[in-house]
Order: sequence, then structure tokens, then C-alpha cells
Amino acid sequence: MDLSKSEIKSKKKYWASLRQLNDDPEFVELAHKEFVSSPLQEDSDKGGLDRRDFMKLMAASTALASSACFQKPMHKILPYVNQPEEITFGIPNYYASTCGECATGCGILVKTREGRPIKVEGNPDHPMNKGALCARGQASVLNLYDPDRYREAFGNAKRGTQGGSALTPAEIDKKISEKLKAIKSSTGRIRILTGTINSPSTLKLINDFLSQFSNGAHVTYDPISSEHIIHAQELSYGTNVLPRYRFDNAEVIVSIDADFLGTWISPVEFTKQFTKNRKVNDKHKKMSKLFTFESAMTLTGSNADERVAIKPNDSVNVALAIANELVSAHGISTDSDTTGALKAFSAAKVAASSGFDAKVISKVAKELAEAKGKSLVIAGSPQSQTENSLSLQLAVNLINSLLQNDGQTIDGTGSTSMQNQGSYEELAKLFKEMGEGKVDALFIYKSNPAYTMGFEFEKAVAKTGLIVSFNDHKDETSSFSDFIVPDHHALENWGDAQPQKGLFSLVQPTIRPVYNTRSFQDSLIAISKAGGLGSDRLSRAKDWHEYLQTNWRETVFKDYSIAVPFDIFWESTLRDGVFDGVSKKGGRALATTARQLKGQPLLFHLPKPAKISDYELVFHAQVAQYDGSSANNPWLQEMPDPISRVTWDNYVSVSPKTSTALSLKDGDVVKVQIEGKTIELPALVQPGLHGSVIAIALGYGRSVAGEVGTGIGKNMFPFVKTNGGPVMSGFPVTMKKTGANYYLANIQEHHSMEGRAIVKDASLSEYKRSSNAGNEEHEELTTLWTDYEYKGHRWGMTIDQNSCTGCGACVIACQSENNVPVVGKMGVARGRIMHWIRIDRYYSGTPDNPHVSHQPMLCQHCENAPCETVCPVLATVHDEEGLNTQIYNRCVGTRYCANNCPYKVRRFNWYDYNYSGQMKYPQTLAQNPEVTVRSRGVMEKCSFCLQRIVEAKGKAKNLGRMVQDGDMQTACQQTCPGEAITFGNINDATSEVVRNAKDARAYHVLEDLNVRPSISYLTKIRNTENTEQA
Amino acid sequence: MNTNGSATSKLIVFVLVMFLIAGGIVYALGPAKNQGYAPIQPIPFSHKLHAGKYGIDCRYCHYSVERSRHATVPPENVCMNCHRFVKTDSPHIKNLTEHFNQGKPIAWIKVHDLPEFTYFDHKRHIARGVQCNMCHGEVPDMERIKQFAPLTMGWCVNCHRQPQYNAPTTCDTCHR
Repeated sequence: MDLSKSEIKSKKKYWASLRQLNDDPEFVELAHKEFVSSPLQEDSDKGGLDRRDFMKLMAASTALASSACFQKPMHKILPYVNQPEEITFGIPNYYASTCGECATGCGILVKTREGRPIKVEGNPDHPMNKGALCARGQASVLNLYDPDRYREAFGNAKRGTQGGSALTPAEIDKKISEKLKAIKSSTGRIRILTGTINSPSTLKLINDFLSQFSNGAHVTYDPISSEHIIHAQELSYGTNVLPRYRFDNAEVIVSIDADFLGTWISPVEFTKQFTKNRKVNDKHKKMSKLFTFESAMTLTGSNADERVAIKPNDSVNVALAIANELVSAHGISTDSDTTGALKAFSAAKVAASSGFDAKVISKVAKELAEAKGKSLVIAGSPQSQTENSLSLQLAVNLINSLLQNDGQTIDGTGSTSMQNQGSYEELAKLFKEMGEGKVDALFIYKSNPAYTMGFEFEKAVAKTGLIVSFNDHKDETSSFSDFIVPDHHALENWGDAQPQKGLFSLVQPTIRPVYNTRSFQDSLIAISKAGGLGSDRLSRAKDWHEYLQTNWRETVFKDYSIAVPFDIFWESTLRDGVFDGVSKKGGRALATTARQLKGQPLLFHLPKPAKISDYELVFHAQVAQYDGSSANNPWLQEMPDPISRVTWDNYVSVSPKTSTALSLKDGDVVKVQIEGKTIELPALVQPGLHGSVIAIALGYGRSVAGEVGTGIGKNMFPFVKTNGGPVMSGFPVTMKKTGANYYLANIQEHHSMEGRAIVKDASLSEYKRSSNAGNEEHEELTTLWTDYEYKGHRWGMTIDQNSCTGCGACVIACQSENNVPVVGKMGVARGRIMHWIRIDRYYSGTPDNPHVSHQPMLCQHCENAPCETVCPVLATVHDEEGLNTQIYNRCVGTRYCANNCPYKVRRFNWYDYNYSGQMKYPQTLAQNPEVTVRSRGVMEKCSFCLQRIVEAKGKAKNLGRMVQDGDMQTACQQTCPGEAITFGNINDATSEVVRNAKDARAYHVLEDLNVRPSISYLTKIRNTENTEQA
Repeated sequence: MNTNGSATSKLIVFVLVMFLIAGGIVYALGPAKNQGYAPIQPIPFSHKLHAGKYGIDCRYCHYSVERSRHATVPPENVCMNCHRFVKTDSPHIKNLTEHFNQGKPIAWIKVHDLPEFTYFDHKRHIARGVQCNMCHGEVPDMERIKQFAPLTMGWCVNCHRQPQYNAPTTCDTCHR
């Protein structure tokens, strides 16, 4: 089909990949093919059956099978012996808890059915994440059922290998406590190494445990760290804290390599705050402005109004140049020494070094100065952690103080962050001690140093006494431990969290432990009791639950002088999941006090010049993998990277300029030499990357993670250096093409919608002039036929592209809610990814610095659905409420519907993915019993969460009314941190979805086809003067 | 040689077609086969005695029928509410008590067995005033529980199509 003739082409050129931009013949061929690959090609090399033989066999077997089928197979019913009072079969129970996936500590609601958790959602009452959750949080339920979790405690036969004899809890306690007793009597050293623990009761328990020894210490270390921020806060303000950032109070945000929308400190909370100021409508045409200076292309950069690609070693100079500009050109005064020192960092110099227009710096400074007290400058993701990371943080502190942002958009004195507190410096000290043979016992919990520190850890381990790992998953560190005492999953355990000072939440078990595990806290109590080690508090506590309650009674309950009896307070906090002590004392929303800069720490930490090299390497965190701790989660491995859209791998991102210079194509393996060490990885051409920068994601290359996660990608953590904090960026490297090739499963070019007007965007200035800027061509087409009259509900959705950051939480939420299977890397490569909702990423502008648009794409539930007219068996039909339904039991798998779908949102089950492949028992227990598990040979697609609609309708019917706004949310809508998705009844004129759909920004994708989708998209507005400008 | 070959293949095609036709006929009759299904249960529980003679309300045992889409077979603790005291000398009650004391469930054989892709909702039918016997027959007369209705899609839709019930007939009412 020649699309150029019949379709309205977009005025602006949008492109999904460089191959599309360059009209690469391979892309053109792929776009014109309906399916990326055919099963016939796939099987031909295996010498299997050809199609005709297959058809013959099928006919015979169908006949035989149906002639034998007189009676349905017998099923049995096993009722409860004693049914728990709170369980009604078929009705879910929700428990408020805290997400244990990372130390951010978002509040969650756990949906359980018949005693097993099947879905995790954000807790709407939690003031931090307000109901939203990220992709990793959504996927945490699958980790609970991971078949590769340790199933029982055991002792390793030999360090360096896994395997040994299983031990009962009593045996473990006896063996470990005997060794500890010896350490105690010889005043030996014991160390507990953990990731950030935001649980005040666990911290107290650890301290209680360590207080039994004369030389005990708790070392906190996070592989992806905010150490420099904390260190710089101390130098600048004298307070050793990680501040809480308030993007909701900021009108101008400048991010220098801080991926706050993707992976930095508390991304869900930050996305909520950020998108709050990005919502526009006819009456409110005002939004915040985001500038980013980035060395890697991140989610935050893709959402920036203006993004500047820089070399990582220039980040500190950018910050200092901004400070210089503020002082010299905007009359913001500071002391003379600092003013003098800043003079060396002119905008022109840094702009020349990174090759951007120096005017950007003056523009940023101007906007910042105009938004004094309402702006925010941040830095801190791994990309910013160069040798000069501390100087960068000090410069950022200086700018924020000069702009009087401290106390307005930065909370450094009130409810400061307790997340991401780990320290590389402390870890280095620990390794030194261990290497000197001074550590007699090392307990490891929620940390995987054998993976992240590799060789250094192995070296240190050789001279360390007893090593016990309490990690719950199979990991590298356990191989080096003498005993493995697996911890519960967070959904099986009691606990608490204090993610920000004064904000408490509880963790409660939602299932009886799946395996024979024991919580870390219970293990500490039991070991200390077994050895009679003596701590009073520990020997008094019956178990961890009681210890936790006692601690709450003695701290939160007392500190906030709760008026009701403790039991009632405990019960109500358990029900709510959260206790917001900050609001109770005077309001979280209130600004905290501004701090005074202490002296001029910056002058003592001016940046050292970086080594000049052809290429500078940066490491960055990836949205799904982060620090690699959930590598064995197939949902997260198959979640496409929001920017590159690659699944199941990490790679070397190179700029388009580099790709031309080295004639690299996607998948060409390159050899990168980093200070004597080399690594080989496939290259991926990443538009928007600086010409001298190459970027690699952390969190891959796990060598012991389980069946799914082992050996995916390469591990970059061994290249991280320690310098009073991690150095993860700005390494001088050389790069060579090896000639080898590697297939990267990238999905952006699959399901291509070619050159049509799919995403629309406009600049804020255009939007101020006209409300339909960028959307001028929008027109509701007429039809010759009489419209079907929808008498009751009619379901519709709107998606605000201004609020969608592309984080991908909806993809995993949908996968969890709708039993969407995982197909594996080869499945993805063949174009068979099953996600019902995908987030397409489009570029516009130049490859060197493109604008990015993220567009969630799901079944549009068209009124004139093209899929329905071609189905020969009426398996996909419209219902009376405007839903385009897919009836699995009727589907015979002709795939005509997918061929005819202009949105490419239909997914075909080429195999029985749910029972063979990546998902293994007991992961199937995480499936939603309200949604059919599809088998081989049927088509599937988004159902608008039909099961939720049915439930809401039932409840509304009982109340004798229609479904209203707030009665139900689709899974994608529920978890969206940007609140971009609205779902509701179009027939209800007062509903939000109708309000949004009437907005001048609203349009349908491919509306010229007149398929009349039920989903309206709202044009993306960028806060720039002109969209064409970079 | 050639002719032989084609005759063989014609025969194969003929056999296949016959199989298909036969299969099709059997298949068309297939789903109704479960009507009247009354398997022997591990404990010969008598609805005739409980619901008939003693007139115990259906909802005493099948208590989630008003709240959930499943009516459910009652947990053993519901049986034991009475049978802790009633008829404790019967071998079947002894069997039941033994299961209960050991915490073992009784493996009842499922009689009303809808396919997994069908989402029937008891709760909504009860809310609309559908009587149990419309689908389950005169259970108080049944010594051993028996499938009364065919429980096929055609049978469901027959009711849903009656204008007086004003029931939905779209596919996604039951399939999702």
C-alpha cells in the first residue's frame, strides 16, 4: 500500500528510529510486512513439518480428539477446612503495606485473592506516591513467587561455589551463635552490611544486635548512590542529609544529569510532583520549564523542554558557568572570593568544550533568576558522578542558595529523605578491614557486593571469618557465604518504613511464606537468643512482630502523643498503611526553613581538569533493572527501555556522529577499553547523545541470578571506582569495532505506523496563541450510517501526552492485571511481544538533539473497528457499551484482525506462553483469576480492564445508579505517576473523560481513517518558544 | 505407479473427511453431555435430607452466593457447626470429623463445571431475584446432587434473550 497518497502526512517529521529517518531499505521492508517474522521461516531450519503436513495432522487429530470427548474431564473442589473469616471466595482483600522493591518506600495496596497476592498497587493515602507506583514496584509481586528464591537455609560446603546441606532453623541458630559467642568473648569484630534500610525498627534491631559485641558496626552501601549529595550538604550547610526535593513548588527546573523522572532517589513521587505543573487547558496555559544538561539520554532528558547534550566531565563546568552567569549578569551577589573563583568558568568556555550554544547558559540563568525561590537545580545520577562529583554538588548547592530555593523547593531541615543513604566510603573502609583480616563475622542483608564490587569483595572475603548471607534471592554473594539464611519477601514479612523523616508506614504479611524462609529480623533475634548473647531488648522480644510493635509503642506512639490506646492506633495505622507524622505536627506542605551556606566549601573543592580523550564513558541506571537486584524478574527483563526500546540486554549507546565515524550499526559489537580493562558489547545508535560520549546501563550481567536473569548483558559495576564516593562517569576510553554482530531485541520499529500524524506537539507560545496549536487538522469526521445509540454506559479514555513521561509503569501494571505472558528475547526479536499497552517513543528534529515524544498505545476500541469486519468467526465484536471485545473461546487464530488493525495493538499467542517459557510455577500463582489465561492460537488485546468494569458496574447497580468517576480505574490509569490517563463513561456529560475529550488539544490517532477510536490523545505542549528549536 | 499414488491419496483424503464429519457431529452434541451428571461423591451428602427434610436454607452452606460470583462448596467448619453434635456415630460423619481434625479438605467432585473462559456470576443473578432452582433444579429432592440444566451457552443465552429479564447478551458479559 502506498501510504503517501492516501494519508494525511504529518507536517513535522517524526521518526521512530534512525533507520526510519534515513529511509533505510531494511526498515521500509519491515514496515510493510505485517508480522516481523513468520513461524514458517522459524521452523524451516529445524527440519520440522511443513505447513501442509501440519494441516493434515491437525485435521486428523481434531477428528480423533472430538470423537473421544464424550465427557468433560473431572475436576475436584477442595474447600477450606476452616475458612478464614475475612476471605470470601472470589472477592479480593486489600492490605496496605510498603513496597520492598527498593529503599524508596512507596506505600502500596496488595490485592490478594484466596490468600495470595496477585497485584500490587500504590496506596492512594500515602502522601509520597499518592496511589502511583513504578514498573519495578508493579513487578515486585512476581519476585515473591520467583522459583529461584532460596527455599530453605543452608550451609555452603565451600566458598566460591553454591551448594551444601540444608539446615533447620535450630541448627542454623546453633551453628552461627556458637561462632558469635567465640567472637564475643575474644572481643572480635562483627559487621552487618546492608543496602539502605529505611525501616526504623530494623535499624534499631540491628543496633541492638550489634550492641552485644564490643566491636560491631552497621555498614550501609548502595550500588547506585547519592553519597556525594549528602557529603556536599554537610560541607555546604553542616547537615548530613539527603534533602527532599519539591518539584511541585518549582517553576524552573534545571537537571544536570539527574534522572529524577526515571531512576533518581524517589522517581514516582518526583513524577507526581513534576507533572502537577505540566497540566494545561484552555483556562490554564501555564507550565513549569525543565532544562536538562545530559551526558546519557534518559527519561528525564526525553521530557525536557530544552535538552543540552554534554560531555560528562563538563557537567561541573555547566553548573559553575550557570552560577557565574547568575552572579555576573543577574545581580545576585555572593562573597568576593566565590565571585572571583567563578569567573574562570565562563559560559563560552564550557559551551565550546561540549559544543553547544553558549546562549543556553545565559538563558537558563535568566529563567532561574526570574523564578527566584521557585526554581530548582539538581544533579546526582550516576552520569554526574565524575571525579568532580563533589564540586558539582557544591556548585548546585551554591546556585540553589543564591536563588533562595533552599527551604522552598529543597527541604533540608524538615522531612528530609531517608532513601538512598548508602556510602561507598564506608564500604571501602569495610573492605580494608576485611582485607587485613580484622573482621571476624560479616552479615549481609539486601546487598550483593559480590556482583557490584566483584573482585574487591572476593579479595576481602578471603581473610574474613564467618560470612552469613540473608538475601532472599539466588545471588553472587551467597556463593561466598558460609551460611545462607534466606529472608522473607517483603510481601511475607512484618516491618515498617520511614522513607522521609516523620513519614511512617507499615509492612504487613499478605501471604504465608511461599518457601521455608525466615525474616532477617527474626533470624537476628533467634541467633542472639540461641547464643544467649545478652541484649535485653532482643531476649525480651518474642519475635520480630512483637519487637516491631514494642518499638512503635516506644517511639511513634509516644513521640506524637497519640490520644487513642496503642492497639487502636496500631490497627488503624495497619489499615491505612501510613502514619504521616509531619502533617500531624504542622504540615508537610509547608516550606521548611532556608539554611545558611557555611563558608565557601566550593573554593576548597574546585574541579580538577579532566583528562582529554576521544570518548568519555558514562554509566547510567536503567528504569527496569536499576541496580540489577531484580534481574530474575521476566516482566522487567522484557520491559522495553523507555528510550532505546531494547529488551533483554544492555549495550553501548553511541551517538549518531560516532556511528558514522566508526561506521557502526545497531548490533555491531564494539570493544571498549577502560583504563586497561576491556569489555565487548553491542552498539546501539542513540540520537541525542553527545558526539564524544558512550553510555552503558548498569544492572546487567548477573552471573548468579536464576534461570531468567543469569547472563543477560554485561556487568559494568566492576568498572566503578571509589573516590570518597563512587565514580561512575567521565572515564576516558577508546572504542574499536570488532566486526562481530549481536542481535538486540529492539521493538520500536515493530508495529510501525509509518509517516502518519500520530504524535502531535506544539510549543507553549503557540499554544498560548491558539488552543488547538499543533492540532489544527483535528476534525471529527461524519459518517453516512446512523450511529449506534448507546443507552447505558459508553467507555472512553483520554491520554494527556503532556503528563506522560514514558516511565513504563502502565506496561507492567497491565501485564500483572491481565495475565500478559512473557515471550523471551527470541520471541521479542520475532515481533511477538505480548504487551497490551506499549509506550511508543518518537523523535522529531535532528538526530543530534531530537525532541522526544512518548505515546502510550493500546487498543483504541474503535467505533468502526477494522478488526471486527474481517473476523470470519465473529470473535471480535462490539458490545453495548462501546468496547471492542475479544472472545478467546471463539477465536480460531486467523490473525486477519491484527492485519487490519491500523494501531498494531493486537497480539497473537504463537505458543502456549503461559505454561511453557519464561513463567514457571509458582509464578503462575500471581495470575489474576478474573482474566482468562490465553492459550496458543488465539488473538488478544487490551480489554479496557473489562473485569474491573464488570465489578464496578455490579457495585453501582446494587446502589441503583450508573458507574461514576472514581468507581473504577483501569490498571494503567491506576498506576500512572503522571495521572496522564483518564477513563470513564462518555455518556456522562459531567465525567472527566468527557471534559478532557472536549479539550482543544484532543485528537484521535489516525482520525482520517474514520475508525472513530474511543481514545483521545491530548497534544503535547513543550515549554519552548518554538518546537523546531533544539 | 502414478495412478496408484493418487488413489492412495484420494483414500486418505476420504478417510480424513469422514473423520472430520464424524468429529463434527460428535462435537455438536458434545457440550450437552453433562446434563444429568451425578457422580458418586466421597461422602454421600444428601441434599434431600438437609435442604428437603430439614429445610436448611441453601445460603446457610453456600453462603458466599450473594456476595461473590462463586456459590462455593462450604468449608468443613460449616459442616462441623452441626456435626460436632449431630449423628456423630455415622461412619461418614466420622470420616468428615477425621478430615476436619487432621486439617485435610474433602475432595468433592465438581458437578457444575463451567469452562475457565466463562465468568458466571452468582451474585448478580441472586440480586436480580433468580431462584436457585431455575438453574439447579429441585435440589431438595435430590439424594445425590445432579446437574439439572445443560449449562451450555445456548441454554444461558435463551434466558438472557427473554425481554422480561432485560439481561445483557454481549459476549463480554461472560467471556473476558
